[in-house]
Amino acid sequence: MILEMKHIQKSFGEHCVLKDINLSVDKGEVVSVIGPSGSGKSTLLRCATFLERIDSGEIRYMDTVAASTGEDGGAVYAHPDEMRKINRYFGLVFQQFHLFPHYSVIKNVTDAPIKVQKRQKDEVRAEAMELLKKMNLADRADYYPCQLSGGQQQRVAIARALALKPEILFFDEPTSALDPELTGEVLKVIRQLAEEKMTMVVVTHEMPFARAVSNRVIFMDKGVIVEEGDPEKVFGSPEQERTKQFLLNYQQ
Amino acid sequence: MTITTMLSTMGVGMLRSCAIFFLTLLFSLPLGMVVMLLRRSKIKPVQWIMKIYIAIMRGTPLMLQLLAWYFGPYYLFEMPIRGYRFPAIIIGFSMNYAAYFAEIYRGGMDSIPIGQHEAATVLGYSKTQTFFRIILPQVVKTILPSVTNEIITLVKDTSLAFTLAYNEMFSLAKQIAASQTSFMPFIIAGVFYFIANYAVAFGMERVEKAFDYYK
Repeated sequence: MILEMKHIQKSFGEHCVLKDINLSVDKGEVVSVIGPSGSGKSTLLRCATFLERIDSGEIRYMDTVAASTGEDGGAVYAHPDEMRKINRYFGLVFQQFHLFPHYSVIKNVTDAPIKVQKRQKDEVRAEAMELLKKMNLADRADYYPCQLSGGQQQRVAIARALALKPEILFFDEPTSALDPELTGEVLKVIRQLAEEKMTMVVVTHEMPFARAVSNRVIFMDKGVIVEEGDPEKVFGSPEQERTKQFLLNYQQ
Repeated sequence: MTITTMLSTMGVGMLRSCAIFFLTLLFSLPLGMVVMLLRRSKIKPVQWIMKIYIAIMRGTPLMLQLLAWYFGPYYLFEMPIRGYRFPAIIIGFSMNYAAYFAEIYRGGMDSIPIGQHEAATVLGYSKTQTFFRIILPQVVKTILPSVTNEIITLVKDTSLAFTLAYNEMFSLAKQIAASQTSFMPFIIAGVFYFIANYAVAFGMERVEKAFDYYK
């Protein structure tokens, strides 16, 4: 088990965004999370990556407890040193890429491994070039993000996340900010990663992609997991009325 | 009195004006950073103190502040003020400009998308690394035009040191103009400020160009 989230509760003020969410991800699994906007999908990823604090519940990475419910019922996070270690287990790709604009493509990819993980410069650089080649961006290594298309920027962002060798990679609507003709190139890269058995959780609106690539689909609505299972089952013969409706709306 | 004598007399004043200018920048630019960081501190009282500090520095005339820095220690602690004139000027200018720079920095910090912080956090950068490697370089780029404005104002503000009877260039110009009943010293002073500011604008434009490699 790479990630295990249990009984996750999260509210923004009065508004309850996640209600008793349970999610576990095994090594090599590709999990797609679908659902209408405001359903809590992105918040779930942000809680898993500690960009948001959960109110209560438990989060474990590789059997290390990152957060658990304390005696007073609120979430207690591990010691900052421990959290730094846990931080290495995951990577996150944002909807808006969030590349560092003042760094070249290659520096965006190599800076964290060198400065955060304190790894050998030459080795990191060589690996980064391999990653860029894989992303079909080898010739863009010395460009700056502003000189790239959205699709290229997102692929750099994926390379940047992979350079830290995470156990699991999260994608938060990776193609939602892209022109339709650019989504393909990003999805292709994710598909390739899936074939290499990279563990991934993808929040997406690309239904055909989710159906084709993932081992498991989660349908979320109003802060709860409504339906979960094999993509063929969820997309082909959903059990819940809410899921049917959502998928129907999508086809129109 | 020939123009050459005027120039050489005023030359000493120009050096003094330059001293005020450079020392103020030297202290106020980093001090402004400290004020800005404290202003954004999570500890409320620290925030309040910095807010009050900035409000006073921006809300009262620099001339008055100079008088307060110079005479304050004497009235409050009966500290002898002999030889304290120049330090008082530098303290007054630096504290005042630090407040303005702090606000410029704060504006610059706020203009950086939250996503930059989040991306850095997820990639494992520490708070210090995130600030110095990711945020600050971008802040510097965005605030350059406002900083240029402030530096140009400082060039002209150095003349306020006359408040403490410090003979910087403009004080000398006034003295010579009065004793010689000539307007020439003022013209020289005007040209001096103009050239100094032209140099500042030119230099800062070069710096801005150096940051042009990304958007």
